[in-house]
Amino acid sequence: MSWLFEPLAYPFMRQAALAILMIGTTCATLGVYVVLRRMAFFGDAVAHTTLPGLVIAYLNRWNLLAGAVIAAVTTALGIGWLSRRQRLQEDTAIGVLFTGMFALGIVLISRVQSFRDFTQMLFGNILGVTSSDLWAIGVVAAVVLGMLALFHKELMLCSVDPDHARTIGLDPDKVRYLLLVLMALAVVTGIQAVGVVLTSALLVTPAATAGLLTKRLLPMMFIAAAVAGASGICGLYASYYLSISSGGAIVLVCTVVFAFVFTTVQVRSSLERTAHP
Amino acid sequence: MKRSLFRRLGRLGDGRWAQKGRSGRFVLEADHLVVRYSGASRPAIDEVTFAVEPGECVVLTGDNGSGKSTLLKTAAGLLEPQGGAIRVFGSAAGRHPARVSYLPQRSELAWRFPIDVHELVLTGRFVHLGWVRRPGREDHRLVEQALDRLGIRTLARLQIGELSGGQQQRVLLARTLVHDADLILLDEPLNGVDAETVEVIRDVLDGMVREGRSLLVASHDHDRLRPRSDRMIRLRSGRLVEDIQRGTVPGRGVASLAGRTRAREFVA
Repeated sequence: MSWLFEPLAYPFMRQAALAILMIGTTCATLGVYVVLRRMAFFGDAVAHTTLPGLVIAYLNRWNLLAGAVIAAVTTALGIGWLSRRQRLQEDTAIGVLFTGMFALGIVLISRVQSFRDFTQMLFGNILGVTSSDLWAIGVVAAVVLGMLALFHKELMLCSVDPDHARTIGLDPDKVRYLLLVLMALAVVTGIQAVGVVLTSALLVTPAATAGLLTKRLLPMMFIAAAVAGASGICGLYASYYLSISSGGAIVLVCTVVFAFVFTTVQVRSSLERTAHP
Repeated sequence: MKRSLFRRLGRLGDGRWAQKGRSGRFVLEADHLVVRYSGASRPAIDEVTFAVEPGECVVLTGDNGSGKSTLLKTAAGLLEPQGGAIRVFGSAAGRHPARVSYLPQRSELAWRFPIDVHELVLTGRFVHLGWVRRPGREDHRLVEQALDRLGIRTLARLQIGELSGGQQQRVLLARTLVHDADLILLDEPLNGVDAETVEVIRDVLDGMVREGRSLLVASHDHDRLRPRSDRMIRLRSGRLVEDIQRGTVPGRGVASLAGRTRAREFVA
């Protein structure tokens, strides 16, 4: 059992484990809505568009987290505004804003010359979280999960029947903006763990896995959170023992879990079909 | 204390939630109503004028694309009129959400969403709750009652996507029952449902009429509803082309009690 506890002797590993647990469960719980409402592309876009925010904050020695939050929320609201009343298809609005912002980030980075400092923005650095990062992650997790609990009824109704919501005076657009802002917040913490490029995996993959296993909203959220938390810890250990990128390892474990569940479900349903043709 | 605070918050957030308004003589009045979808060359509803009295059951008929759904959506406050006016309980459409229930066509819901039948029917109570406040024991009791009335109690824990078309239609009607509205707008409630469901739905609609509620039912196949209705309005290309009062009825413009009595004659 020593292999299990040995890494936890290091404070940075303990902090990383705590961070990935909080980040994973938050992103995955929210990810259930991302998957059910087909907002996966949006999640990916918001993650990518934090790059210019991070770079600008870095260059001005501001708080990186604040820079990312501002960029992500701006993008989220921008996409919502561009695609309101179907003026522009949402995926088109996302495509335009996402690439534009990411390009701005790359241009800003190229002005700085040194690319090294930015690799951890692109690919995450869970092993480098400080205790103040932990506090920020904890606050974001509490806000996101708290809002999901508080507005459960509204989020559910607006997802399943937005017209009914509108006829009873509950504006689905308001609820959508709420979801976009929560996604922006969750994504910013995800960047800390797995970086700009891979963050949408934390939103999508555990929730997609859970969707294969249950047809109930709350169990789906719990399973997604459990998958993300467990994959996070496994990925962390893998990166410790194999000396591989922690962000890559975490996302890879999520993907392997998804592949395993997907195959199992497929095999079982085809067995059932042959048993009861 | 907490509850009443949340209720007040709900009212603050949107004063329309669960508000009972002053009723006019008509439940619904359309006055030279024009509704046009953006980009469309001709209006979907073109200068339509009619009024529904309290307790009346009106069938709205016409071919596909004649404007039936558009008219219902406008009455429900989902679409804005571009010309003329539509008044529901004396105010602009959408101002009395607790008193108006809109039952959409089945295809307009995300049936794959992972909630069960009970939970979907429970959303019919939300109008009386407002923001944040959770449904209570009484709300759950009303849901069970409605499921019983539609004969789908045994389906309560099924995911909504696992249901047949007829069962989904019953679920939507159960939601409308728990909404407990005075005006009920139904879009093709008998479309693509089995014979048994047709009977169940007709019974429930009869019940609603007996309780003095007003119904406006869009159906391209009005014969299936005819015995239940007082009146048939036919639309063609967005225009009102026929407005037929059935049988010998006491003069129009009677109050809700008379409307109810009259309705009973047709149902009996």
